[in-house]
Amino acid sequence: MTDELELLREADPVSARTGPWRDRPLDARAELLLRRLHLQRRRRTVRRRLLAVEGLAAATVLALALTVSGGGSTPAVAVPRPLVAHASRADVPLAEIARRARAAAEAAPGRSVRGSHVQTWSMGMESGEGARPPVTAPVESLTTWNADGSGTLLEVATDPRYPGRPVIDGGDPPRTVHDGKVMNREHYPKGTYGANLEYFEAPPAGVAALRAYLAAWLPGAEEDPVSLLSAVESFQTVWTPGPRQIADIATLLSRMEGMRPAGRVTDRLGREGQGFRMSGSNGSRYLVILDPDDGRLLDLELTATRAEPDFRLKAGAVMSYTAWRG
Amino acid sequence: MSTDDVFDAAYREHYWAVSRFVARRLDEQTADVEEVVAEVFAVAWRRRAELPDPPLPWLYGVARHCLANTVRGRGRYRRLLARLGHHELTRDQRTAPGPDAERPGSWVLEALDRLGEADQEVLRLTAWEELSVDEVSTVLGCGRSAAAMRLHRARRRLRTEIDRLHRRDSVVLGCVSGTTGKTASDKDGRP
Repeated sequence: MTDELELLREADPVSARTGPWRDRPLDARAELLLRRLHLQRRRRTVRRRLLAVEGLAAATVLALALTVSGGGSTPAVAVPRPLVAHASRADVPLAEIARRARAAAEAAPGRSVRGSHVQTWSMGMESGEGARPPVTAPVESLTTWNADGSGTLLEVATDPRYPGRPVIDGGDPPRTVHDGKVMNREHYPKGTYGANLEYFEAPPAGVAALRAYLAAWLPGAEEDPVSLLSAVESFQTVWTPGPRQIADIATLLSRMEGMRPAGRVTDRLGREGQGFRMSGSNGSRYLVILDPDDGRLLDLELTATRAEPDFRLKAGAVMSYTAWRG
Repeated sequence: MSTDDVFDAAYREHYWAVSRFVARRLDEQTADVEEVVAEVFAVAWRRRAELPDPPLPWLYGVARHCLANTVRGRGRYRRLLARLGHHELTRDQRTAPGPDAERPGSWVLEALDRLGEADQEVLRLTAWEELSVDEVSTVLGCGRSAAAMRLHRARRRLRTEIDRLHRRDSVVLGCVSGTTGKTASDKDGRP
């Protein structure tokens, strides 16, 4: 009879020889962590990282305390409706968008730029008895950083759909604040890499190289389309991609299993793009919007496809939405 | 070597081992694993003056505490993620179909899951982290003899569950498929 410990060894779910946790020299993430330990800096918040990696934005649980400010002004608190795509003969296939992106990159190559300019709508939920409905906090973020690890972060509560109206902030508990209120302003000294928690090395050119680069911070991105999409989202909160990386990302997306054409979409910033849908995982769905002319990723919308009563989440609710302004 | 140098050496040598330790206990959920591993080494850095030789069992002990805090602190968030299926790729890897599955060793996880947490942990530390009894006692914060006794009992219980699974699956296969299972009457050549 086989020894029970030997059976257990054979069933080890995490290998030291293969997979993301295999033995090897430290990767970029681990090296950065070690550097940060020496600088005795802690990661700023779990929330920001989750936003970047999971694409669920502020799925952290928030207490709901909506207090509408006076003066008769209506706060822009509504949960955004999912964007609607319209199929037409003018639709541009994803492969064609990728081809255009590559042509644009050849005509005018340029480098990716450190930093990003992003508008997000992030849903917060609570669960359990007495759980109140989700709230969605709209935030505009401007991130800059330098090769020496210094940088800045500016986060402003604003909803471009309702200029001038009060908005819900992303605090705990959420409050109603005036449009344009600065929620967070940070300055990071050199060496700290505080403005970019990941992807601090310059992105490579080439589809395979870029995929490997993206997967360095989210190992599942090597195989899994959803993880790859999350990695792209994360990357684009750190870098504003140049033409080469735009083309490589468009090519990666065009090769991604499960991407289905949705049609033309006008995004929440009023830009027209070409939409593609992809099932997220159980109970969620992505809408990916690209600029049909140069392949830029304009928006990423994550929608619940089924209700989660415990969280008072309705089917069709937008859980997170990211619009890149850069 | 200074304390910092010793810490750096331990970090470089054991970063992936600690990552595996955490991944095995979080069903490999990448983002969570990285968060916890970062926390483990942050704690270890603050306590680097206490770093023993060898450091790995001590680091595992730190990781156990960090994991406990993580599981407590993220309960609701993790439940939501699990419901939404964001980690479905890794979450289901522990589902074991039975002794006749393609990977003969994988079904033993089902037997492991049937044990109490204390039994599971001493078995994981021995089989997956490949620790000696002395090292297990360091991780669990108990004496050597207590660790040896825990391991002995846990192995016995695991063997019992393995045998029970074997019996159950033999019965199920024999009744349902009628062709692949080997029942006593099959062996005897009787209908």
